[in-house]
Amino acid sequence: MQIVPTFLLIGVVVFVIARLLPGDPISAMLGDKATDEAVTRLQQQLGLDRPLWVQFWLFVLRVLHGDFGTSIAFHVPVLSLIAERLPATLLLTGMASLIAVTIAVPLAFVAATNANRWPDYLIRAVFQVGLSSPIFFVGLLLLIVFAAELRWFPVGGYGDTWPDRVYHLFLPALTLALSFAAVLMRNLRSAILDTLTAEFVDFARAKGLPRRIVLFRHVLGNALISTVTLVGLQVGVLLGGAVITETVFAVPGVGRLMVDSIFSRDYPLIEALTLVLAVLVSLVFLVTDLVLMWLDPRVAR
Amino acid sequence: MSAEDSTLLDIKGLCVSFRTPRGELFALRGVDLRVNAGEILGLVGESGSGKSVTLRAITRLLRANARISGHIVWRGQDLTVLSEAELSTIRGRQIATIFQEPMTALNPVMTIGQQIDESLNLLRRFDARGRRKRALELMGLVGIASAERRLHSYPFEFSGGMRQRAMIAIALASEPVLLLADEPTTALDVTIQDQILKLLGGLVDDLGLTLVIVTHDLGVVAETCENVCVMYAGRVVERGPVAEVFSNPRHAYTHALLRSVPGSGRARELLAYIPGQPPRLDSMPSGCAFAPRCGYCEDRCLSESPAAVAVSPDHVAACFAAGRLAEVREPQ
Amino acid sequence: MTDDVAGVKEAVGAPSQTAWRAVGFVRSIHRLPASLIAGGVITALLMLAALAPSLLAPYDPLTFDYMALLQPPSFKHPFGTDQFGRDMLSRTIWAATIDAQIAVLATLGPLLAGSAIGLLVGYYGGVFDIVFGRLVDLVVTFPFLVLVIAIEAVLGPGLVNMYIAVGVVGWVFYARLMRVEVRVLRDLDYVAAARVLGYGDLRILSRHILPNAARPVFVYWMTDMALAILLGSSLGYLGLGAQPPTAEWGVIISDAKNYISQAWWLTVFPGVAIVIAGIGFSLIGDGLAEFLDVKR
Repeated sequence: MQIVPTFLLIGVVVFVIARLLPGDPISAMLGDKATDEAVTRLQQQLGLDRPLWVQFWLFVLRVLHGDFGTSIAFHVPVLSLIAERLPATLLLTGMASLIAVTIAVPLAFVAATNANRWPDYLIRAVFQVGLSSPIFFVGLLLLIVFAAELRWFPVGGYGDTWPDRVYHLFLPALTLALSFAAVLMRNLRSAILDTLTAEFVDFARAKGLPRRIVLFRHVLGNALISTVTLVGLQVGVLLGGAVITETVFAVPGVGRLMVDSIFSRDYPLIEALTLVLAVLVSLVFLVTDLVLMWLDPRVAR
Repeated sequence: MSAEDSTLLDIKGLCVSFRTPRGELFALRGVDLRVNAGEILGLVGESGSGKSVTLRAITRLLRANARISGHIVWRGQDLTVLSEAELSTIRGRQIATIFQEPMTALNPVMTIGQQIDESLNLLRRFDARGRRKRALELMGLVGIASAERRLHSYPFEFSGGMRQRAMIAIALASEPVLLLADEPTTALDVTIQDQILKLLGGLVDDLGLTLVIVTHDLGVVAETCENVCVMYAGRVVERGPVAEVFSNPRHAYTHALLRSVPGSGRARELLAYIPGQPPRLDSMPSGCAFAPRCGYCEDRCLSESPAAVAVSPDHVAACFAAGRLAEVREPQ
Repeated sequence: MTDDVAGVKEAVGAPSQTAWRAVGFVRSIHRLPASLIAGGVITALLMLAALAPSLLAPYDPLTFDYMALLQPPSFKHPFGTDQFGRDMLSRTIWAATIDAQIAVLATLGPLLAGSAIGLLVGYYGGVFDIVFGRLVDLVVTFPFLVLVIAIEAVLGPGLVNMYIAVGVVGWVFYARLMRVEVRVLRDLDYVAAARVLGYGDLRILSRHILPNAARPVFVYWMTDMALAILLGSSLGYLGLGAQPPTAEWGVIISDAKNYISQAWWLTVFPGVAIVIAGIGFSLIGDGLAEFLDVKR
């Protein structure tokens, strides 16, 4: 329930900042040589000639009715534009998360159970390099090797059917996943290390439980709990990375849309996008909290 | 049936060292002790004496940097030569361990029922319903009321005493022959301590368990144990029946320890204490480890390590002053 | 120890003071963590390239050579040449100046401003602390990159605007770290003792709190410089950071966009430079943390 005031605040901030952007959509659309008449006419059309607070009030009203206005640059309702692009970004980040967890969890496990021996050093070194590599570079490398040279994957784009889309998005998802996995691995390794020396693990061993059960049920189980929180918090990083990845691989997603809309001063689009982004992030936090409550009974108190 | 037949556990010359950046540190420097079937043995000593290490060494529950040498003979089998897989079949099902702090020893995100179930599963004897029935039985055995409800509770929802009972229930689930208790009452209030000790004593009688209690509290030993091993600096310095050792200590350390217990002297006397500190693992003195603090120290104590001498059939002490101590009688 | 020294001096015949100082220096390096040394070496190389590129670069980075367009790596051109025949090794080395500049300038402002604010907020607390907390929540949950891009969109693209954008958002991380450290220190006994003795706030802050709180912040600064290079090159690639024709690693890679399938060396080598520079700073950060005994 704390979400509502936050949204309101974000809405206001976005609105004000968008209006403050120097340069305005009018000149962006009509160019410098527009006549005063044309400018005024367009202003009236877009409702930009009314006082600021009136504009805001209208904005709030429209939002509550689900109407986010029309994109200035694209001339289509903003909501439909976002709806069109959102699935690509969601698919991308979803795939990336999945791949990242698949990579990070086993490797963190191996690293922690072999702490300070060569498997640990090797894994940590590799991931350190990963952490120090900019996402766009990793993406380009994957592009060069797997798309341009080996031709296993297409050089970006999106595709038409869902399976086709998964195919197109594999390289971008892998790119995003690699940097995400690096952060995940590091934290999970610490969590597992801490749990390995916990007394309840000793007790589990003392009970005579086979090593496998002790490791997976007790050690991994508890360590995963701290990871869930982390994964949830990193959603912001994931979205930021999506912006770059979508640019490198020319994916028609929401990330690229955001950047483009800022440059074309597309107010309605910017507002709606930011709101959608905020909602998305908050939803992820909510889900993370719920999952955490389900996994760790201590949290529910 | 001779005494040898009923010896369950025979530890001979047990040495445990830890490899650390500061070198190899020896926590146990040759421990000898024996546990007979059905007895309650107390393992007593200061912090750092090695009593907990001894307990953990039996089932090899030490850290990865530990090295064990010596012999731990359990029912005729030397545990030190067993593989980890073989040893894990003995853990729990023959030798169970309970720890000092149940809050940290129990998995915080699993219910008590689930943790008992894990142990029951090892027996491969019950189906789901049978396990549930047995779990309730066990909870009743250790004195946990409203067992039905408690099965689905998490450790943090229990009180300290109940957690300890739960831990005992979990340990008993796999039907061990020997129960090793590492400071089972240290973390509890005095009244609860009493309850738990009575519970443990009762279980020994009812189930035919054998119990080894590690503690630094002489009172616990006096009340609950039949035999006692006194440890100092990684060695057993004296062992024997509790009544005899406590009334007629033959090691200078035991003697000093007993004197320092409040209430063992006359009223309005200064509290006796043992001066100095136990030796650090990385700077062990040559000769008897207790010599620097000993009131009965002779010259040879500083260079020679005294061998264990039988003072009477069951009573052994490793002290050059054993003879002299026999003549000293302190009021109890 | 003095006996040893005296003995050696005697045997060798007393060398000069500077020689002894050098030996002492080398000996003390021995005690430093390996990561610190490795990171130091890499960063030193980076600084050399940044400050004196002409010393390292074999060619002039701006010279076109129409005889050698898009050449793959060879002895003559270890990093190959681009579509204008420019030597990539030289271009990469000369670009180090800009990227090193980014590492320092993009982090210095946030470091100083953030530390100051964090220090005050942590020490005085109160309503500032509450407001600060909300601000931190807001900034931290949003993707850093998106925020920076948004601010740059207001100001326009370019390196200077990038510094401003990063500054506006980046100080929060330093402030947050500093605040945590100060809060812990403030409640320690020896600070309470200082207050009881009547020491003024300024003295307590500067003498007792700051030196200790500064250590983790300093370590973070090193890591942040690595992040700044990543961010700077990413923005350069997107066209929002350094602007062409300024040679910056991200910009160089962006220039090569059309030749990805034909000339992989145009993308790979500058990228590797970014990675190595980032690793250098990260290693220093790790080593410093170990050396200063800071928990990460």
